[in-house]
Amino acid sequence: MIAAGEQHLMWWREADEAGEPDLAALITQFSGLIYRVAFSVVRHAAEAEDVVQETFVRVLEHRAKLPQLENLRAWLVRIALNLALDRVRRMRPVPMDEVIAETAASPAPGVATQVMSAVELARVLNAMERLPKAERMVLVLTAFEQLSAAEIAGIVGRSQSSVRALLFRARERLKQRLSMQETGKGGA
Amino acid sequence: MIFERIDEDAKDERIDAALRVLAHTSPPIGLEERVQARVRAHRRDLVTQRPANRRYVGWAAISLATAAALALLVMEHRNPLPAARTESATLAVTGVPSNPPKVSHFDAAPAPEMAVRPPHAARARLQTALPRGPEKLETGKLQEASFPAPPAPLTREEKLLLEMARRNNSAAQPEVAALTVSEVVKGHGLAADTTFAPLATPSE
Repeated sequence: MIAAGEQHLMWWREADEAGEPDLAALITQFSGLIYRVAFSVVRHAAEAEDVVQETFVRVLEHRAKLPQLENLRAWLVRIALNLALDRVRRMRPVPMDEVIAETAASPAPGVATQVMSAVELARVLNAMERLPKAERMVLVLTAFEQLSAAEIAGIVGRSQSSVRALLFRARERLKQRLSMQETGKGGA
Repeated sequence: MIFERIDEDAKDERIDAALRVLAHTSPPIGLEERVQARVRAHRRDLVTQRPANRRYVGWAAISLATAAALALLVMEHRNPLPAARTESATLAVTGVPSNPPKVSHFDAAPAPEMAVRPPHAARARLQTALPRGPEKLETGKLQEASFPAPPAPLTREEKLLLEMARRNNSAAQPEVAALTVSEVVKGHGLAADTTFAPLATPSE
């Protein structure tokens, strides 16, 4: 198995021989991951796709930087994350996002949806939405198995121990809020 | 205690499930092609924009330089020197240049002469600023009439005043050495026994 850094070097060597960076290979390799990261922030398919396109446009504009990058994947995810956060700030709040809509309309629920209904998912996602930005980012990024702890730390610009602390706080806060929601619901 | 633990685990499970839903979203079909098309279009834009920009900048620089040269030429032709014009207007009204050269009390050069005489260059420019064509005669006469007369040599009274002004200036002594009260009296046809009241000396 090739590590992320080695893969990046291989990709760059191929691109260098051709004289121009091979962005097509880069898109094939990373567009899926970038889409999922963007989608987990914006929770809207068209907006997430726009973020992916914008991310690769940025790569094209800053292609001179590529050979100096230590971790291309972390760099790409960071660009996508920042673009997605910008979009979320500009977007009007939608009454029901696409994740919840898909979950509710799904005729054959998957592994994740077997354990929770669309209503429950909406509750968790809404609670997640209200987390502080850094905690929310760390929590979302830990869901991606491809990203190591070191990469997540690089993406959010913190140390690994700080990332662990943020993750712990995020989960605790989330559980606390879910408990409060349940208590409120029980009392109503 | 056990119930609390179970409740905590259930919440963790719900959080993990929500994160899995987010992380396992499948990208829409044709995403890669659309992204590649967008990148290709952007690259084309970059390639076509650069030479066009360079050409545009070159033409802009040339046209700007031409416009500046034309403007200078027109201004030079219609308005030879605005500074000289304002200077001449000041001179015509007051007889004194708007910004006369500063002369200290200890200067050897005669200050009043400098105050009324416009600089040589300014006079030359004024001459070029005079109207040409049919208006030349009338306007020229008016300007000549209002223009200060060329400086005449100092009269004896002026010299006396100058001497008083430069009372403490030793360099001016030879200049007024020959000037005596009797000469002034004789020159102006005054009686020989005319007495002059002493002038108040400026306090030091």
